[in-house]
Parts: sequence; C-alpha cells; structure tokens
Amino acid sequence: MKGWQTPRPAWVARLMGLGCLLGGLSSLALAQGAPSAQGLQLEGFGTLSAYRNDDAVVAARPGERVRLASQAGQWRADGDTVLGLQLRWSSSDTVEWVWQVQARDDLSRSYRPNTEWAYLGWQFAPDWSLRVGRQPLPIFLSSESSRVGFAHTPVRPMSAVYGLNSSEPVDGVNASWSGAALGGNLSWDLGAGRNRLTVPRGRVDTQALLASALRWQREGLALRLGAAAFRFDLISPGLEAQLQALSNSPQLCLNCSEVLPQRARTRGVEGHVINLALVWEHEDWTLTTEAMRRGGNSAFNAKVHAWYALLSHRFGRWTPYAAIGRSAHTEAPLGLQAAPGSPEASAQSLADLDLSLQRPWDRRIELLGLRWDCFEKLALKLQLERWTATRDRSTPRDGEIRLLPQSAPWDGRLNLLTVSADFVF
Amino acid sequence: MRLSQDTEHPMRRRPGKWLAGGWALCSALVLCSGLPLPARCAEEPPALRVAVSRSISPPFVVWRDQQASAGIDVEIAQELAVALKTRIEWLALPRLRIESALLSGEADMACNLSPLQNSRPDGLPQSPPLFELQDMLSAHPSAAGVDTLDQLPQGAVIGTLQAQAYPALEALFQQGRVKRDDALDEERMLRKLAKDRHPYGVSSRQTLSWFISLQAGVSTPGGEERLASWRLPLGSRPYRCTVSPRGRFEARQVLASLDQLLSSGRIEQIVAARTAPALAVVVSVRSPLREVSRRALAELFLGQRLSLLDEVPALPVMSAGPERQQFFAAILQREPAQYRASWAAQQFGGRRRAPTELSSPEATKSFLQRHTEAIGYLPLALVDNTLRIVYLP
Repeated sequence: MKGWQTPRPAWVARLMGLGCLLGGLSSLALAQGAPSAQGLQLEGFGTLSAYRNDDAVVAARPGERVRLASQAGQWRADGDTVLGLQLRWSSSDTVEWVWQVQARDDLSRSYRPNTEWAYLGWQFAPDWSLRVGRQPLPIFLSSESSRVGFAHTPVRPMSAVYGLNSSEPVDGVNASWSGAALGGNLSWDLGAGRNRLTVPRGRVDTQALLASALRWQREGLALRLGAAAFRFDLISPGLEAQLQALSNSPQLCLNCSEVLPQRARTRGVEGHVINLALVWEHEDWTLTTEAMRRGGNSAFNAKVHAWYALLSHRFGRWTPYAAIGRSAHTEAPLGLQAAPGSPEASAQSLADLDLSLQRPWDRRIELLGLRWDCFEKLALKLQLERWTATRDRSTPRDGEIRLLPQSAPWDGRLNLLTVSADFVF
Repeated sequence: MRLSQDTEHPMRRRPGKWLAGGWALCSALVLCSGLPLPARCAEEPPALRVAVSRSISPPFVVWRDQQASAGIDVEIAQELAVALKTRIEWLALPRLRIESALLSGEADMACNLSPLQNSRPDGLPQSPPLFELQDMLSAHPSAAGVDTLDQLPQGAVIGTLQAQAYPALEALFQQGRVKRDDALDEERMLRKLAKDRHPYGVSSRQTLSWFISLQAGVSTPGGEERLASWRLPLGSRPYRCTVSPRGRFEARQVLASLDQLLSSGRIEQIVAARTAPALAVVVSVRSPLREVSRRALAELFLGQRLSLLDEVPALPVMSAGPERQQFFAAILQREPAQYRASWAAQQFGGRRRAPTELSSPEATKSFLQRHTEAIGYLPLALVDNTLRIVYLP
C-alpha cells in the first residue's frame, strides 16, 4: 500500500497547480460568457486511479511509459492517473486552434505537463478537414484518445494491442474526409509526422511516420482499417556500444558482425503496422475487437501480431465488461554463434541476447470489469486482469512486465487490479 | 354492453344513505329470523359505473375481449374507485351515446370525451383538466410534407374519428379544401394511414406515440407500412372526466376525489408511465429536413454521423431543463454519462466538439429559429409555426 498511502508531494503539487490553472481559466471563460459554438472553449478530462499487482517476482505497470511499477500487492496511484486540459479557440466556423496538455507520471517527464495536442484545424470543404501541428495519428481505434479514460468502457485501451504500440503525438499533418458511401458513413484519414521520444536507455527519433485509416459505419456496425509505415533511429549509446563490441569481437561471436547490422540495426529502422477493428452495437450490447500485425527490418521493432475482443452490456448506469486478448512475437532467432572455444558464460550470454532480441514476451490477457456511470461527468471503474506469459517466463524484460536478471523463478502469471474515477469537465 | 371489473380494493364503506339503510334492515332481518343472508343483501354496494367510448385506443384504453382491461382511462377510474371505496362497472358504449347515458344516470362517469360534431351544451359536471391531449396531423411517408394547414393539397383526405370535431380543421372541411375519412377508432385510423389508404390523419400525440412504438416491434414486408416522422400540431385540448348528475354517487364527491388524485400527483404518474414525454425534436421550418428516424437522431447526437440528409451537415444542440433527461431516455436511450463518454473520445481526440449546450428551452428555440442546420429538442408546448417537428417520441 506504500504508493497509495504516501503520495509524493511533488506530483500532487503539480496536479494541484494544473487544477488551479484550470479553475482560473474556467472562471475567466465563464465570466466572459464564452459562447460554446465559437470563441474560446475550455474543457478537460482526468483519471484518478490506483492499481495493484499481486505477483511477488515481477513488477507490472499499465503501459511502458509509466515510470514506476507495482509488485507484491503494492498499490500505486501513478499508473493511469492523468489530468488533461484543453483550450479550443474557434476563430471562425471553419478554423480552430486546439492546445491540450496532459500531466501524468511519464517515464521522462514525471508529472510535468506535456503538450499532447497543439494544432490548427481547418475545414476547407464540407467533407474535408486538415490538422496541422502536434497530434497523435489515428493508427489504432483509440490512438487519439488512449488516455481519456472516460471515453473507454474499460480503464484503458486493451494492453494486448496498445501495450505494444505507443500512441505518442507527432509533429505533422493529418487530412480527413468523411461522407456517405456504401449505404453508410465512410471516413478516411491520411497523416504524416515525426517525433522524438525519450526511452529508458536513450531516445527514439522518428524521422517519418505515415499513417492512414479508413472507417465505415452503418447503423450499429463500424469497421476500421488502419495502417502505418515508419522509420526511426534508436539513439542509445550504451546499447550501440554493446552491439558494436560484439560485432568487433570475432573471438566471442562468429557472425555478429554480419547478423547484428542486418537484424538488430538501431539506425534507419523501418517498420509497418496494419490494424483491423470492428465495433458492433446492438441494443445494449457492444462488441469491440481489434487485430494488428507489425513488421520491420530490425529486432528493435520486433515482428508481432496481437488481438483482443471486448464485450460489454449496459444495464442503465452499470456496464459490466469482459475481454480477452493475446500477443505473439514472430521475430525469428538471429542465430548468433559463439566462437569455438569461447567461455561457456559468453556463449550463454550470446544465447540470452539472441532470445531477448526475439522479444519472446507473448502474453494472454483476460479481463473482467465494471463501469458505473454515477454522474453525467464521472464514472467509476473496477477492473481485474490476469496476464499470462505464454512463451517465456525467464528472460529479463522491462516492458509492462518488469523481470529483473537473477530474479526468482516466475510462474508466468500475475493479477492486476485497478480502480479508477474518470471524469470530464 | 355492460361489463364489470372488480378493483383490487374491496369496498369498506357504503356510499349512499339509502344503501346504509338497506344494509341495516337486511342485517336486522337476518338477526331476527335466523335465516341465511338473502342473496340480494350479500351483494356489495353499487359499483361506480364508468362509461368508456369504444372509439378510444391505447394508451388510454387497452381492449381485451371487447373489455376495457388497462390504460390511462382505466387506471384513473380504478384510482377513483379506490378513493371512493367501491368497485367499477364498465359500460362500453358508442361515443355518441355517452352523454345521454350520463344524463339519464345509466352511467356515473366517463373520461376522455372527445369533442363531437354538432354537439349541444349538456351541462354535465366536469373535472378540472387532468392533463393535456395534443392533436397532431401525421402523414404517410408518400404524402407531401406541410408546415401549415394551408399547405395541405386541395382535396387531400384526412383520417379522422367518426363524429369527432376538429376545431383546427373544421373550416377546411366546410370549404371542401380537405375531406374527412372517418374511422371507428384511432388505432384503425392509424393503421389505414400506415397503409396509405389516406395520406394524412389526425390523432392524439399519446395514441400516435403508442402506435409508433407498436410498429417499431413489427416488421412489415418492405417496411412500407409506416408513418412519416414529421408532425404538425393542431392544438391541445384538456383531458377531463364528466360526471352524471343522476348517478349513484354525488357528483361533488366524485369531482373532489378526482381533484385530490390530481393534486397528489397520481394522475401525472399514471400518464407518465403510459405515454412518451411531451418532447419534440425540431428544426426550423426553413430546414430541408422533414424525415428522420430515432436511430439516426441517436447517431447524430452521439457523434457517430455528421448529417441527416446527404450533403447537408446537421448541427445538434442540447438544451438544459427536464427535457434533457427525457431526451436521453426516449431518443438516445443512453445514460447522460454514456452520452458524454461517446463525445469524450472526439472532443479530446482532435475531432469534433460535443453539441452546443444551451441554457434553456427558450434559448434553444431561438437558436433553432436562427440556424437552419440546427436540430434540437423542446417541450411540445414551446413549438410554434416557426419550427417543424421532425420526430416525436
């Protein structure tokens, strides 16, 4: 209960500061009688959440960009907790400026507010609109609203898919078209951008990200196809030095100088993602399912496919839901070969590296939850997840599951319990 | 036809002095003679005889085996019987016979009497208005839409109820501009309208809503048997109960009990449980929109579609007030938080803003009048000839 009972004053103070800023701006907007159709509009969202992983061997966190993790029944309040504030200014019927900041316990920023959206939106034709500026691109169903907990039935978008693929904003442009087609509504997005993202051992510079999404909806059925292609550099001096050292040590590794540049390149990494989604609403039932496949030219963008299905039913204000999801990496072994006569420990290290680069962290997730829409702008949720490692339980990792080297044997299972209060204002 | 139905509450007090005397005499005879209680004396005191017009349709009267078995009229009478500590005897009569039955004392009470053609003042005691009935002009989807009665095509046939007067239409009938097609009851009239036997029809909002909800659960081949979604209000009239001056119960006593039911809110509860709210989804009369389904409205207000007509964007607006909750329940069929959630992803995900929130129905009316692309909801009482009802729950 440590993380829950003793909140750190720094992040509390930052959240309070953002809250005060929000309150002040709200008052200003109200005092000026800001019209809701045009002019300045202030709105926000947030989540107060606590989660608990019951496993004593591995730590778990709801997202790779969450800084800390829970272990051995420890409650943590920093997983999904977020406060978002958005200013929208419509300078005309067709032009608007949007600035959205989010404060959450991010890996690199702690609770310092981060600009998530900052764009100029222009509807240049009745069916066409353009966004220019900072924005997440719509690759997955919930890419653009992944941290708006109030918008989702579960606490967060399903980890089976969203835990593998970040929805970080890029600086770029996105064009949208929507209209009637095939007896329903069709929309199409095409976007491009670049970003720079801090990771634990360095940073990722995405030079180009091109994304497109096609969505068709008729009555209660929505089908969506998303695709993206990207190129990035992984800037990690320590990692690069380690790989370079192996490549330069034929006395340790026979083929590292050939294999690593081909299979584990850190510069000019290219990849692609394709995603299919279906949302079907029938009376009070809703089925949401997504399936994705990712590929590329480096083990640092490992080949993987994943899917999930989420079923929910509304009973007035109560919405119980259940989901199942799975992810499987398909990166082939690199085949790193130890040099004849090299120490056994070196050979084992090489084998471990090979396995680690294959990302053998396949998972199955089963989830049960309950959403209670207690007020118009507030929902409470209780969610229990079981994560099961389906392929490897011993290779150290530092993703949503953190398994340190030399840890005690892990049985491959953990239970994650989350309670949250999601709100908008 | 004389029908009877016991209420759930047995009589505990005799309603009339003459009856009290008879009861005492009967008891005395039994005590003195030691004979079995005569059958005549074993009967419960006289029931409240409620006349009900055979032209009345649900939700006012639900007929089963030609008996009034449920509905607003039935429940109001049952509540009255409880208040009077008696039971009910139903008299199902043709509409034209009801006033004479009340005048002669054949019936004690009748509710929901529609105005008659060529009727003369009868001086029958009446309750205060218990609630309002709104007459609506509705149409088959193939009929030309109208925003005023002047726009009705020359010679158009309007489905009506036999012998019923329609003050808003009488002048047009007399001029021969439009023609009546009388039906025995509203349900039959609406069925004919749905089959396009005549292009227009007049009925109460409450019966119309019941009919639409009934149709929603029945699919017809090709789906052609349906009504257009637009409505033209023709005015409202009060729902009252009329009491016999020669009945078994004193008119004053019956009217006082009805008054008490009204002031206690029980009438309102009965009506609310069996009718859709008096809420209208409206646009400006300058809008090209006339026809819309509940599903399309829900999709628009939940952010799942941009327009209701091809190439014509729609601007949904929300209004504060009690109608807001009614709109959530009757049109969106969502909880308010679920409405908010459906917009949160767009609102904070770089897409569209949630519908404009206006502070009052009056502000909404003004906004709708000024913006032809806007669509919103209003209490029916606020709808005038500057607005068009495109959907009525």
